[in-house]
Amino acid sequence: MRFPTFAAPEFLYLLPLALLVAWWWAWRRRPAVRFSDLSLFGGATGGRARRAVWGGAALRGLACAALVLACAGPRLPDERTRLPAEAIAVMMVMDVSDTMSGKVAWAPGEPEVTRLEAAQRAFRLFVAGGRSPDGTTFDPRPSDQVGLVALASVPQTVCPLTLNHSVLLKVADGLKPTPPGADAGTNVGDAIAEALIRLEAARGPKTRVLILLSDGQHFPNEVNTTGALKPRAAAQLAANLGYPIYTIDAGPDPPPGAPPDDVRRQGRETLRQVAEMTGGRAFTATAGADMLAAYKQIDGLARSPVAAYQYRRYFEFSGWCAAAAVVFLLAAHVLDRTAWRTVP
Amino acid sequence: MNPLLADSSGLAGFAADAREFLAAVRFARPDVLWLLWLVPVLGLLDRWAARRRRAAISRIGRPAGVAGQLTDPFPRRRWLGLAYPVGWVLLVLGAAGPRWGKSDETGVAVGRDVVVVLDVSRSMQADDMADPSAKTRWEAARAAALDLVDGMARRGGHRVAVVAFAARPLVLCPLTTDTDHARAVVADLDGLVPPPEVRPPVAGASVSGTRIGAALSAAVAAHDARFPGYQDIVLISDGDDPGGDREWVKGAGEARAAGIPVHAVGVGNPDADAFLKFGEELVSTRLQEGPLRQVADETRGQYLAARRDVPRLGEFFRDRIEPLPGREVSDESLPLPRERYVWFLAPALAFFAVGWVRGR
Repeated sequence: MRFPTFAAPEFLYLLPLALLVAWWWAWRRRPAVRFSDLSLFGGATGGRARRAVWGGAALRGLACAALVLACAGPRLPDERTRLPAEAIAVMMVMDVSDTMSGKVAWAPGEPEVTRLEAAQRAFRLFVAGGRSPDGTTFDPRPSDQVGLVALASVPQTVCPLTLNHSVLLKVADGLKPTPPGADAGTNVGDAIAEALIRLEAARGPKTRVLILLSDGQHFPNEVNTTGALKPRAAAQLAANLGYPIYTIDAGPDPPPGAPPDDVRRQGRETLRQVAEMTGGRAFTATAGADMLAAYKQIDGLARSPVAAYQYRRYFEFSGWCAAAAVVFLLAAHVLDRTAWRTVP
Repeated sequence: MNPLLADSSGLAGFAADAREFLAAVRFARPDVLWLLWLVPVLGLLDRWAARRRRAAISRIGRPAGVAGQLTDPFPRRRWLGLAYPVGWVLLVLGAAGPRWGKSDETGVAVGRDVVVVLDVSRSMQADDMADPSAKTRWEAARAAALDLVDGMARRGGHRVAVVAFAARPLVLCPLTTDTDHARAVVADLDGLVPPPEVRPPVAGASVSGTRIGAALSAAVAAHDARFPGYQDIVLISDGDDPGGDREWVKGAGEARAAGIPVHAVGVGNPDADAFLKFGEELVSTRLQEGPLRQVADETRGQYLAARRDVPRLGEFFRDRIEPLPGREVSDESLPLPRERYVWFLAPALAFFAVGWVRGR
């Protein structure tokens, strides 16, 4: 037998109040009518009046005790009821191709980091919150289901949609750029398709969003991937399904006055088009303020209830105590006005 | 513009704040709010009872005359009539479980940590299993791992991690309470096309394709160092390491040093060879129970001789691991709403007390 604990045990000091209430109700002085002739009522003294007094006292005492208990919040350890969360499904696509090992500036005055590192930092900002290089503060989004697809020549779901963000961040931090070689390639289109498959399979959340962290350079490996989807075709697929794609460019700015066929310029243009076609937004990893706008936009989307894999610590009985109080009070109230009615 | 209606201050600001606040209030049991209808119903009952009282008094005498003879130790005040209705509204609101804001309490997961280590080396492709739905060893191993994850999901609170290995180990899924996640990872595993990370580091290198020791080391590393004593490793393998250099000794030693029992599960036929074709070469393989038994003995785990049947790991988990004491972990900061019933029930008690002392 486990004994309940209390959320606010100090309320238990009020328990003697129940006895006081009962005592008061039974022994208080009642309103009366001065009348010279008692013979009129002589035959009417009996069980009902006594029951009215003692019953009213008992019901009020019990109601008072139940209310005090309800305030104290009795509870037993539970640990088996899954906690509800209000979630949207967010599938992240992170580019781990060899171009992501290029360097990019994260914050002014700090040493340059790889593009992958920049993407990982942007990812962490998005999931766990923190401060971006331009001082924008992000809140964590603990109740969203987030998954991760790693993108190189072949897309790979490294983490299915989950509410366990500690696990997700561990997986994301463990990603390394693929070495140049036989497996090199950047297959943005197929990765978007893979993420769409995962979003389609999401159970629970109705709002589904895709976030692409990449430098936007789509070079499918012609050796081991034939017929790779073009990013624009994949974006069209997402647009048809109604899932917006937010793109975060983890690469550096294109050099000023670069020709239109410059790799960086094209990469950024691809990401912009993908976002535009699906109703998402495009921004750069270091632009915290822009990203926050999209972050807020995603926050504004409708959430659906899902069950988390976290458990309730306690089973609370306060509601039951309050229900008992309702029953006792209702009984006292109704009986006092019908069977136990007094005059005057 | 009227300064009282200016944004973020004055009346309009207050109205906006109030709207925002009301939008944030949730009820644990919203159906209870229907009981608010009790307030008008009880009001009607009060009026009916008052009429019956007047009727009773008129039988004693003329109402004005009887009123002159009344003694009342506590003369009624009009506003006291409000005590019960207000008390009822507060009581019903409190019983409905109002909650807003963020609680200091976090969710919790109470249970054990288990790392599943799956052999996906080439010998696991041998089809010497008896079950028609899992002809090959790796299919049986995968089915067993799924059974284990389902067994863990039944009660919940346990954490599971998945490690696949051949020449090298790969953590497919770190310790997670999300059994759906672990299940998806295991179900995605294909023994014919194992993840490239488990292949030998250099193609064609003469390293053995079944490194149980390295896999056990990876499993020990995948465990959460904060919770020693609440950990187990389940190794599903055929134990057939063509290297023959007792490489597993090091991994088993690490598990023993960390105090983690390794429950080894042997799949395959121990009595007859199965043949596999590697290119032109025909290779024979059979379940080697010796090393698996020794790993289990060394680490105070159990050896489960599943042999040609799909191991029933869900049952094993429920019988042998789940009853052991569990650790408490609350890593995920899932926001919990704060319960506010006290704010309603305590004033309700006060209003009812006033009503009892001064009224009917």
